[in-house]
Amino acid sequence: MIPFDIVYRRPETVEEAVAAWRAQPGASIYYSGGTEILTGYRTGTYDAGAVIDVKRLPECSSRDTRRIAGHEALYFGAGLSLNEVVEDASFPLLAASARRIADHSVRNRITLGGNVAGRLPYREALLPFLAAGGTAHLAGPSLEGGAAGGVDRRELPVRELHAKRLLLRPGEFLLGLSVEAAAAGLPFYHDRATSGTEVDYPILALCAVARSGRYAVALSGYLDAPAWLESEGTPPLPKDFPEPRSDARASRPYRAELLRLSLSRVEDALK
Amino acid sequence: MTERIGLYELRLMVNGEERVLAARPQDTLLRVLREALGLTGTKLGCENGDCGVCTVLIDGKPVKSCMVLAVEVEGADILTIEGLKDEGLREAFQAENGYQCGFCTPGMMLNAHALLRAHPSPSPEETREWMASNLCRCTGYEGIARAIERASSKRAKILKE
Amino acid sequence: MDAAAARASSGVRGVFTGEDWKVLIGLYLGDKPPLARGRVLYHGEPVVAVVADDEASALRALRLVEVEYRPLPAIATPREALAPGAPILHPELGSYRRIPAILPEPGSNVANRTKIRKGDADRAMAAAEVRIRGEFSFPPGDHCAMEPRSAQAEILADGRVLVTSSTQSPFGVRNLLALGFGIPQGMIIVTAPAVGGGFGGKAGIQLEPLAYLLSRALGGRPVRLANTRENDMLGSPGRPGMEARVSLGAKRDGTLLAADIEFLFDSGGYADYAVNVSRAAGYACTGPYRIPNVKSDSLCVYTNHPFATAFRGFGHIEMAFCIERAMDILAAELGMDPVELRLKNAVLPGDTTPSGSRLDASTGDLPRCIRTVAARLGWESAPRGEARGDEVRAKGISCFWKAPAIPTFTDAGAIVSFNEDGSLNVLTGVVELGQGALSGLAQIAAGALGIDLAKIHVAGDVSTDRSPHDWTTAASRSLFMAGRALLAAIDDAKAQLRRIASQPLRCPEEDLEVSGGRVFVRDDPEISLALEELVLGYVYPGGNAIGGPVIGRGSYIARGLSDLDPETGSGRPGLEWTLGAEGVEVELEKSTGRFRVLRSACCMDVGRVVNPALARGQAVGAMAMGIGFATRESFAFGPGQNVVNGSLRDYKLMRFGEEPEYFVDFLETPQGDGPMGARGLGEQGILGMPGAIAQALSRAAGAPIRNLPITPETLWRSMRAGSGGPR
Repeated sequence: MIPFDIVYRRPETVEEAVAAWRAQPGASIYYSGGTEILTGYRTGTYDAGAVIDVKRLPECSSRDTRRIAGHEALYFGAGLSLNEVVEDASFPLLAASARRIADHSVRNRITLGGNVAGRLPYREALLPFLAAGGTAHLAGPSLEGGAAGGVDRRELPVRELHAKRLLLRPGEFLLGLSVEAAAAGLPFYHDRATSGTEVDYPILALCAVARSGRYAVALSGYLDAPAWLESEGTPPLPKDFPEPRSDARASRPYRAELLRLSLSRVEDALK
Repeated sequence: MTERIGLYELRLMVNGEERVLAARPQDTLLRVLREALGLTGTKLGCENGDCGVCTVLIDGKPVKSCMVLAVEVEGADILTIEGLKDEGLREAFQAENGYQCGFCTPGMMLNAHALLRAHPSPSPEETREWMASNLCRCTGYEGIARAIERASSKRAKILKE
Repeated sequence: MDAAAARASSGVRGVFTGEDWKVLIGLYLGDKPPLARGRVLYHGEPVVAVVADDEASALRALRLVEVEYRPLPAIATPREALAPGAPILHPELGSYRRIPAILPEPGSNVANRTKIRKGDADRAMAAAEVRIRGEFSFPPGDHCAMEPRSAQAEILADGRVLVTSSTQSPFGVRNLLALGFGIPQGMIIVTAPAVGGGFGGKAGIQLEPLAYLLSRALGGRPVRLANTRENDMLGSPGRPGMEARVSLGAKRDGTLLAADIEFLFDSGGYADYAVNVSRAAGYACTGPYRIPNVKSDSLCVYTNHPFATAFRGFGHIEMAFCIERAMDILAAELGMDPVELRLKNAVLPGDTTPSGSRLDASTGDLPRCIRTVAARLGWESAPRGEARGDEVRAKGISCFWKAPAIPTFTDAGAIVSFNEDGSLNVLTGVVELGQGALSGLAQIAAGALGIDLAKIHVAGDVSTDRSPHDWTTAASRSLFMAGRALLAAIDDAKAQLRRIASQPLRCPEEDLEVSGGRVFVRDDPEISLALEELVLGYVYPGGNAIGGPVIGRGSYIARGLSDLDPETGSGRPGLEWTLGAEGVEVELEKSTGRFRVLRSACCMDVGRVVNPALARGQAVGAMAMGIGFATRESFAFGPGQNVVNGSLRDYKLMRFGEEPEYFVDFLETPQGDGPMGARGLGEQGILGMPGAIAQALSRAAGAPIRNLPITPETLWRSMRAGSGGPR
C-alpha cells in the first residue's frame, strides 16, 4: 500500500496541467498509466507529494492523422494505453514492439507516454519512433516564467530529444508522438529476447526500419538506455554499437551474441 | 480540474451498484475494494502488477487493481468476482479442475471472461497473450486452459444453435 | 537503531526489536529469534516491527526507523561455511533446544548431520569395476505460493490466546506457542482457514510467534501481520540450496554396488525445519535404486542466505537431481541406455532402503513406471536426440521416490456426526491448501457409508479447540492418515448405529449392515430403518427415545516408524514410499540456448486413485513446479549475499502458455495399510523433473549439466565451451 498522503489532480487542459505543476514545482509528478509510479510509491523510489493525471487531456488521448511539417503524420497521444496502441494497425512496428511490454492486463494501464518518459530504461514503445524518425510533442511552463507564465509547446525529433532519458525541461511533459505516415508503412523488423520467460524486461529489444537504402536500428535492454544507429547499405554492425551491459539477466557476451544474431536477421528481413 | 486532497467522497460503480465511500487519493482500487467495500474476493498477491490475483474488469477490460488509484475509476464500470455471472465459465472451471487453492481463481476467471467476450473463439496465441497476465502456482495451467477451451466451445455451440 | 521518530509517529502503539525478547523458536531446532538479535544473518531478515492502529500508520513509522549496519563477511556456500576459519553463524548452537533426532555440531556451521553407513561402501567401491563421481549444485529459492503469509494474534482477558494464521500446521503452531511461551495448550486456539497454497512453506512455525509477542506487548490487543510479497520471499523462509558430491560404483553390466554421497544443504541463516529436510535426503539418499553398500553424510549447513523450510519434495527433490545426474554419468561411462540402467537397478519388494528398512508388498512397480514413461516419450521408437537445423529435440528420463518425512508419532483424527436428514458431518485437522484433501475425505466417507457424495459435509476451517488433533497438513500424508482415521470413525459410527437399531429391529447387532442410508438385516434387507430415524436417537411410537446422537471417532498413528541410529542411519523413517518415473522432451535452439519443455510425462504407483481429477491435478501442478525449480526459480546473489531477485518482477515463475503437454499415468499396487489402498502423491510429481530436464538438455546441448538453474545463457555457454558428450 502507499502509506503517505498524496494529492491527486486531474486537469482538463494543458494550461491547467502546467499551472498545477507550477504551483508546487518539484513536488509534483505527471501521472499517466501510473504503473511505475504506484510501485515506486510503495517501494519508496518515488515520493512526490502530488500527481497530475494527464492521460485524459485531449492532446494526450487523441489518435489522429495530421499534417506536420508538410507531411501526413500519424499522431499517438501519450495517454493511449499500450493495448490501444497495439490494436491500431496504422504503425505495425509500434504495435509489434508495444505488444511485448509487460503483460496483456498491465498493458491496459501502461500508456505510451508512461513507457517512454518513465524511469525504467527499456522504453520499448519509443524504439519504433527512434527507428522510423518520429517527433515528440511536448508542453511545459513557458521559459519566460513569471507567476502567471504561459505554456510552451514544442515539437522536436525524438532522436534529438533522447539521450539516457528524454531531455525534458522542468515541468514539461509528453503530449504525444507522431511519425510520418510514409515512415510508419516502411518495411520493418522487430526482435526481442529475454533471459527466459517472455513476460520480463528485455535483454535485447530491437526495432529496425529500411528506407531507400538506409537502415535505422533502435534497441534497448542492451545498454543502459535506448540507442539508435543508422547506416547506409547494410544494417549497422555489432561493432558499431558500444559494449553491452552485464547484469543479473544476461552477461555481456550473451547480449553481444544476441545482437549479432538479430542484426543478421534484420538484413534477411528487410533486403 | 478535479482535485482530491485528504479524505474525499468517492463514488464507484461496482458490480452494477453505486457505492459511496470515504477514500484517500493514494488508495488503490484493490485496497478500496477489499478494505472499504469488504469485497475480499479480489486478492492481494504482490501489489506490484506481477501476479494478477488482484485482477478486476474495468469497463470490460482486465486490469490489475493494485495498479490503479481508486480515484481514476470513478464513473467506470467495475466488475469483481462477486459480481461475475458466467455460468458457462464457472461450470467449465469446475468440470476441468481449473483451480486448486483458489487464490488466483477470481482474477483468472475475470480475465478469461473478458477474453471470451472479446474473442469468443480465441486462438491459442490470443488465449496465451491474455492469460499470461495471471500466475497460478497450483495447477500448472492445464486445467485452466481446458476450462477456457470448454467454455469457448460451449459458447460457440450455443451461438450456432 | 534509532526508532525515536517511529515511536512518536501518529497511530503507533509500539516499536519492537529482537532485543525485546530472549526467546528462540523452532520446531525441530530452536535457533531463531522472532526478530534479528545483534546480527542480521540474511538479506531480508526482519529487524524491527512497528505496531500501529492501521497499516498506513505502521508503514509510515517503519520508514522513520534508522538502522546502521556493520557489514560482516558473508558466507556464500555450504562449502565456504565448512571451510576452516569460516565465521561461526550460531556460536550458541550447543545450547539450542532440539528434538533428539537432530544432531548439530556446535562450534561449526553444521545444524544437523545424518549419516548412513549401510554395508561396507569403501570396500565395495574399491572393488567395483566402474566408478564415477559428480559434483552438483543449485542455489536456494522460494515457494511463491500465490497467497502471502499472514497471522493474527489476540489474548483474551481470561488468558486464552486466539491465533488465526495461513498455516499448514495449526496444531504445530499451538504446541510451539505453548512450549515457547509457557501457556497450556488448551488455552491456545489456532484457526487455519483455507490456505492459498502452501507447498511446505506454511508448515512449521512462521509469523505466529511474532504476532503473539506483539499482542502480548500491547496488552493482548489483536495484532495482524501480513507479509508483502517481498517479505514473503525473503523474510519468511524459502527452500534450501545444495552442493553435493555423488560417487557410484558398479559392475560393468550396470549393477550398482556402492554409493558414496555427500549432501550439503544450504539452509541459510536459520535451519529449523531444514534440519529434517537434510535428514530425509539422508535416509532416502540413493533414490529408488538397489544399492547394497551406502555411505552418505547429509548435512544441513548455515550460510548467509535467506533461510529454508519444508518445500515440496522435502529433500527428495534435491537428492533426486544429484542421484539422477550421477546415474546418467554412470550410464555414459558404461555406454548404457539410461533407461536400461534404471530398470536394472530399480528397487523391488524385498529390497532395503538406505536405512535398512525393507520394502514390502505395498511397494510400487517402479520398472513398470519407467517403461510407461519411456513409452509415452517414444523412447524406443523415436530418436532421443534429433537435430533439425538450429533446433534440437531431446528426451530425458529419471526416477524418484518419497516417503513422508514425519515424526515417528505422527497422528491424525476424525470425528463424524450426523444431521437430521441422515447426512454426515466430517471433522478432521486437515487444512485445505488446494490439494483437495477435503474432497478426497468426502469421497472416502461416501464410499464407506454407501451414500451420495452430496450428503457428506466436510468442515472447512480447522480450529484446534474443536478439530481432532492432526500432526500437520504436509508430507503428502493427509489423505492417507486422516483417511484411515475417517474410516475408523465411520466404523465406530456404524457400530453405534447397529447397536441402536438392533433394539427396534429386534435382532443381534452382528446381523445388521449399514449402507445406502439405511441400517438393515443382512439376510433380510426389508427389515430396516433409515439413518434419519437413528442418527439423533430412535423414538418409539409412544415417545420413548434411545441412543443418539451418533458420534463416530477414529484415530490413526503412524505404524512401525522408528528413529535412525545416529551412526548408521538404520531405522524405519518412511511410512509408505510412493515411487515413479518422469520424463520430458525438450526443444533447444542452439544459437541462443533458448528452450521449451514440449512434453512432460509422469508415471507413479499410488496404490489407489481416490479421485482421478484431483490426483492428476497434483501431479501436473507438481511437474510445473519442478520445471520452475530446474530452469528458473533460484535466488541470485550480489555483493554481500544480497538477493537481487527478491520480487515476482525478477523471480520468474512459469506463465500460462509456457507449460508442456502433460502426461500422467498412475499404477495401483495397493498400499496394504492405506485408506482404500491409497498412498500419498501430492509431492511426487516435482521430484524427477530436475533430473529429467537436465538429462534431456545435456543430450540436446551435447554438454553435461551439473548445476541449476538451467537457463538459456547457461546452455549457450556450455555449448560454446563444448565438452564432448551428453551427460
